[in-house]
Amino acid sequence: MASVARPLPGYAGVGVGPPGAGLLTWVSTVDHKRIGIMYVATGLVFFAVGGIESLLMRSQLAQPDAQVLSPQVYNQVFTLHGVTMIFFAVMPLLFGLANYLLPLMIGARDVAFPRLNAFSYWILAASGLFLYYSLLSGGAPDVGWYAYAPLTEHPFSPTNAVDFYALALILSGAGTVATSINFVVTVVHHRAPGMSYNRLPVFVWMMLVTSALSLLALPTLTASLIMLLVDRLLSGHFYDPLGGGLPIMWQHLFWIFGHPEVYILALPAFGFISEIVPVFSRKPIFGYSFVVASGIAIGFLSFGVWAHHMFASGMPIIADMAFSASTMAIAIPTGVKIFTWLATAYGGAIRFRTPMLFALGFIAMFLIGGLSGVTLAVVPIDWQVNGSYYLVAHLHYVAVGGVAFAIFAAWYYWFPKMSGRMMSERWGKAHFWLFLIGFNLTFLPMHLLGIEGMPRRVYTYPAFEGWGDLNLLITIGAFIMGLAVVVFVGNVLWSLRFGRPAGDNPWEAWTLEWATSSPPPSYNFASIPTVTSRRPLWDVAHPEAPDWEHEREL
Amino acid sequence: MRRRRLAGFAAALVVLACWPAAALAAPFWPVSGQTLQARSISWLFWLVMAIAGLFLLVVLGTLLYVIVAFRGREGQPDPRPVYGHLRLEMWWAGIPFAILVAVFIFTVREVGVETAIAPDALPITLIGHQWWWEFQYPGAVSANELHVPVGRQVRLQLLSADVVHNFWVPELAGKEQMVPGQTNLWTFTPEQPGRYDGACAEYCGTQHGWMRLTVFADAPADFDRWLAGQGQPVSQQVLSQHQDALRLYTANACGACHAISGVSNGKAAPDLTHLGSRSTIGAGVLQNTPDNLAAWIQDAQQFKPGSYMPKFRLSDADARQLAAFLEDLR
Repeated sequence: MASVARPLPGYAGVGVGPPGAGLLTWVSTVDHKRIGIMYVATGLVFFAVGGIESLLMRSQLAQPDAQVLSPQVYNQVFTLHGVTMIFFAVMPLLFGLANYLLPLMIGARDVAFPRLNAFSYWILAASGLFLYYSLLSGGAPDVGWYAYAPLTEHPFSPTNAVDFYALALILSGAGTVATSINFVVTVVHHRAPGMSYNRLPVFVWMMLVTSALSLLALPTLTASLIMLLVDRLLSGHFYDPLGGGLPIMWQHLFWIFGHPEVYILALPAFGFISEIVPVFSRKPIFGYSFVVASGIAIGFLSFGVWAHHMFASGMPIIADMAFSASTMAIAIPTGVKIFTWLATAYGGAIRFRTPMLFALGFIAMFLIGGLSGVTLAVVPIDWQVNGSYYLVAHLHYVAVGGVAFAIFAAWYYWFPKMSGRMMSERWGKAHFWLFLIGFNLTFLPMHLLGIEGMPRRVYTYPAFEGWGDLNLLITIGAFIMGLAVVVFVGNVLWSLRFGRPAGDNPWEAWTLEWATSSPPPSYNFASIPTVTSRRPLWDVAHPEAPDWEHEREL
Repeated sequence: MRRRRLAGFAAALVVLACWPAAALAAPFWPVSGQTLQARSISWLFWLVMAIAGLFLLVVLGTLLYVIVAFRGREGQPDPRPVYGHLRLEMWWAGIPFAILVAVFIFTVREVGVETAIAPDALPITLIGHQWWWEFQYPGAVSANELHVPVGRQVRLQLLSADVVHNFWVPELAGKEQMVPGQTNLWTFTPEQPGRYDGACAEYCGTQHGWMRLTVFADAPADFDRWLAGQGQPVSQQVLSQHQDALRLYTANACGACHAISGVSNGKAAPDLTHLGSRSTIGAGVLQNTPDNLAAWIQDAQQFKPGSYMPKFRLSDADARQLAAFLEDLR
């Protein structure tokens, strides 16, 4: 390792031809980058479908006693919206971006098991289609995404819809577990020389924790879904009180999966923000060790908070108190992350490009979602507002204000690497402001509705409650968000053809994916780079003050 | 450039304006607690909101300051790198920890206030059904409208006949699930006479949206009179006045699902022995008037699609006759 100071510019490789465009080359590919792009495209399609479903719901709820959708259809639509957004939009978008980026960021040529990677993608895409096939087979599931037993049992859900729900999630879970194994082995085994754990990009660290969470959490979901199928198809009694089963057991099992799942979605988002804020502030991440350690702490704690979804289920008070305390505890590492991003930007020379706008929007919106999460950890407040629109507001400040803002930030940031072209800044900014305004118009008033007593998952509400005006405002906000997404998709399609060529490193970033060409050749790097610090490209640009001299300063 | 920056600030202002606009659009009266228990929740709610709001202002203020103060200029060299600051990091983990410990202590204290049940509390059993409520008092049965006496704590035993429901009347108390095969306890102490709206707060199938309930807090004497009345069977006088309607009731097998004491004892649907004394039908979907009741009997699906009350092919005259009988069950 003699030539540590300038090993990188030559790593773009030669002979970077355009990748084969035939459909068969995509179907048969085992290249992590192409699989990543297919994941992301699939996620975007399902994101659009889930978004249209939310607009259908908002049309029905715009005024009291509306009859746009029948209750039967409304209940299918809100169930599909939840399942689609969580399992078939956000997860593919996150795991697709990780699929693309993770090997590049650690200087690897591909993931450890490329064929398994292709399997993961195809089974995920197939399970999404399988879920929607239920529409052709007598109706979609109408039990909500967490599908509390015994509503899911045969007497109350006699059609096949719940079987479709269970099988689709079992299949997609298999894909997620396979991907997680792939990520863990890739990070453990395929890091470039010099890429110690202390030098892993924060995003890679977060994906490592996310993968561990997936490996531990998804099998619980699979097992509880198989028990549900045994009940439904083989007349079992796991969740059937008449046969001695326990409906409450479903709630425990589901949330033992379900709460780590929240962090399976949130940790990659934290990773994106931890990559983007430093680059656009022109400073290294503040307190690398604290950022990574807080992510790991969240990973551990996320398995000890599940029953905060069940404060109103009749648990003993002592259990309520224990889960209240653990839930408040998880707010601390989450707060550490927010302070860290602020400290990173503090004293910087901030470049307000679209990725940074979304990253800053993320910090503000996720902060609100995190704080309303703390209010829900206070058991009596939860007794009052849980199961109401306050909860709908909270979860969307986390899932949209947090995760979706981070995905958009990541999309604008890495699109040049993936396509070789820049996105339009002008339309990117229009997208950001429309989305920010629409998002707050939609979800902020929902807090008030919940406090005033509007339960969630109702297909209509009586006029005398006086909730019509706020609901109309919310519907207007939802359509502004819809418009913002149309602007985004238009920008993507326009930029793919007409965007300015990006070059290898348009943002002057410091991690390894920017050392190779845009888009990278199929083998990623002509020769494997040797890593000298947490910011290898900084060292190349600043041989007089390389980063490795500061590695012990946290 | 300057114009664009102005546009940016204008857009930011619009976003900030969403907050007060939303608050003004609906007067913000959170859970105006009408009981000891609901007031305890309300107090804790405002305390935590104040702490969270202060925290939000400080962090958002810092964010805005950073955005304004550290805007990069064209061609500006990268600032001096700062890699971290251990003591600062300890502080910003430690201060939230201290705040949360305080919040947790208040939580434990208020939970004690909200769950204490006196031994002389009035026991009432609530049973959730798809999609209506059954209330069992010592010596009487009712549906969808819960009467409670002012000044006496009630001890609710929550049960379910089918799927998971959730009892929620925001002004009186928080909410608690009704889980089949399990008995959950809940309590509140009504203080002001009046009517309070509530609803099922756990998705329970097609008509979750119209599984609403009303609580009437009555003065003790009114409550005792009401309870005594609900315990009475139907008088022979009413029955003999409505011989034809009674024949319709039997011929259409209403009694297979509904109970009228001394006439039928169906268990799948609300008890009708005192239907005339209730103010709504269909768990809140219609006002209880003779016309509405006749229309409901003919085609409940029109008002509550998916409910288990089937459509009955009754002539208008027959439906009115049946409705008149049911309205006389007071």
